[in-house]
Amino acid sequence: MTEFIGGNVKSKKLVQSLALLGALATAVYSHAGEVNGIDFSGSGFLTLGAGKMMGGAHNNVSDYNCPCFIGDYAQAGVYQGDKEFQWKPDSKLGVQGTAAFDNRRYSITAQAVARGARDGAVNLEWLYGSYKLNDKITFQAGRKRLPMFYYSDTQDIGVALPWAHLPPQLYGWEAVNYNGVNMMYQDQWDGWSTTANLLAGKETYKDSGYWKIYNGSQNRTDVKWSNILGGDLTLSKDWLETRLVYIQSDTQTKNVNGTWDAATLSYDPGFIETEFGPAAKQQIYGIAINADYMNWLVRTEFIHINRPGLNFKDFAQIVGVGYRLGKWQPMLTWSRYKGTAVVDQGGDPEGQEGHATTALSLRYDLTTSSAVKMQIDSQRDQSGPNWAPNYGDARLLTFTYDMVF
Amino acid sequence: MSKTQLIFARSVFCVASLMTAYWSHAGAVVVVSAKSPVSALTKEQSSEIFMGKATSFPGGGAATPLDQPESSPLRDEFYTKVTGKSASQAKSYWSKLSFTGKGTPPKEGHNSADIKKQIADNPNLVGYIENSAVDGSVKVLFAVQ
Repeated sequence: MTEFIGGNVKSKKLVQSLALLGALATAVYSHAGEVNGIDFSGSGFLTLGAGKMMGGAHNNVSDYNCPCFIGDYAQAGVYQGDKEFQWKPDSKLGVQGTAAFDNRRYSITAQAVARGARDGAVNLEWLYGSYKLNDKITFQAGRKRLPMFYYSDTQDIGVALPWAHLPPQLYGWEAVNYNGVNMMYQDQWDGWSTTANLLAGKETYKDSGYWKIYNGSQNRTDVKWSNILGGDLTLSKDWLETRLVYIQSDTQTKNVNGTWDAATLSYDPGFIETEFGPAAKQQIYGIAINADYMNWLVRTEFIHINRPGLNFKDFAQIVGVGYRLGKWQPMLTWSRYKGTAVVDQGGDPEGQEGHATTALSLRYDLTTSSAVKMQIDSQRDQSGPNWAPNYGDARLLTFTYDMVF
Repeated sequence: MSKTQLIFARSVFCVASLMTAYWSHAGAVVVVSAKSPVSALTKEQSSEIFMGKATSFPGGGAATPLDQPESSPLRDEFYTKVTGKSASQAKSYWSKLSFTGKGTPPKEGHNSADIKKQIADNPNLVGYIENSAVDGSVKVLFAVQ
C-alpha cells in the first residue's frame, strides 16, 4: 500500500498553497454534478485563527520562546511569546472531492489540507475507496483518519467543533492517520443508531509534529505505527451518544536530525540519524459519553494508553458543558493529561508529564455554514519535578472563523 | 384619525404582516410522490430519513431525502421542529459525516416548486414544502407542528 508519509507536496509558501487549494476548491465546487454516470461532489472547510498568549511561565523550552500553549500536538501548532497575535497554529484550509458511481455504491474520496502550523504545506490527509455492500455494511481502503477519539474524524472541521481548537490534553498524539482497510457497520438497534467500525493498517509519518514539542521545533522525528488493529462502536439515541474505542499497535520512532540541547542552545550538528528503535506495543482504550439535551451540551471523553514493557502509561480526559442560546453557545471545558510511572519497569514517579487546561469558549453561528468563536485557555503545568521539557503554565486568547463550503 | 388610533392601526398592520409572514412558511408538510405506496410517516421517521439514519420507508422502498435550500426559512423550521436541531446544528452534523465518509447530506432543491416537481416524478424521493404548495402531484405524509 502506498505510504504518503506525512504527505508534504513540496509547497513551501503558504500563500501559494492556499491559492492552489483555493483554485482546487473552486474547480471541485464548480464541477460538482454528474458526468457519464459518475457523481462528482466537492466540499471544503476553512479555519482562520488568531491567538495571543496572555501570560504564563516565561522561559525558553527547547527553542520555543514561552509562555507557550500547544494548540495542536500532532501538527506542532504552538502559540508562543506574549506580544503578538499569531495565526498559524490553528488556521487551515481543506478541500475534499468525491467521485461516486453505481448509485453511490462505489466511491473514491480525497482530502487535502494546508495548515498554518506547517507553513502551508499541503498534506494529503484522506484518500480512500469505498464499497457499499448494502445499506448497513461499507468497506473502505486507503488513507484515513485513525479513529482514536470522538472528534478524530472531524478534528480539522472547525464548524463541527464547539471549541476554537480541540482540548490538547486529550487530542494530542503522534499519529492521526493510517493506511489500511476498515469495515463499517451502520444500523438501528432497538431505537439506537449504531455505527461499528473495524480497522487494520499501518502508518509511517515522517517529520512528526508531536515530537517537535518534545525535541525542539526544528527536530525531525519519524514515527512508525505497525500492526494497527482496532475498532470503535458508537451508539446514539435521542440526546445521548456514547462511543467506545480500542486500538492496538506496535510503535517505533527514530530521531533524524537531533534534539535541542539546552546546555549549548543548539542542535548537535554532528548528530547521526538513528535507526527505528525496537517496537513497543501500545493498547489504546477510550470512552466518550456525550449529551445534547434541550439546549445543554455535554462532552466527556477519557482515554488510557497502556504500553506493556515500558515505564509509563497515559491517562487523559475532558469534561465540557455548554448551553445554546439561539446562535450563541458558551461552553466551559476542563481537560487533563497525566502520565503515570510504572515503577516496576523503572519509571520515575517524579518524572512524569502532566497538565490541565480550563477553557471558556463562546461560539456564534454566523450562518448555517459558518461560525466565529472566542476562547480563553488557562493551562496549569502539573508535571513532576524531574520531567522535561517543562512548558509551565500558560494562558491563551484565541479567535477563530470557521466555515464549510 | 387621532394619533393614538394611527399608532394602533399601524401596530395591527405590523402584527398582521408578521403573522402573514409567519404563516406563509409555517405549516410545512413532508411529501412524497402521489404515485408512492407510502401513506404516512411519524415525526421520528421523518427525522431519521433526513438525518441519514434511515434509508428506506417503514414499509420498504428506498427513501431519498430532498432538502430545501440553505436560505429557506422553511428549512430552519423543519429541522428545529422535526429533528430537534437547528439548521446550523444539522449542517454541523452533516459536515461531520460527509467529511468522514459516513454519510452524504441530502441534495437540495431550488425551491418548493422544484422539490415538488422532482418528487412527483420519483417515488423514492421525500421532501418538505409549505402546506399551501401541496397539489395533486404529491402526497402528504406528515404535517410539521
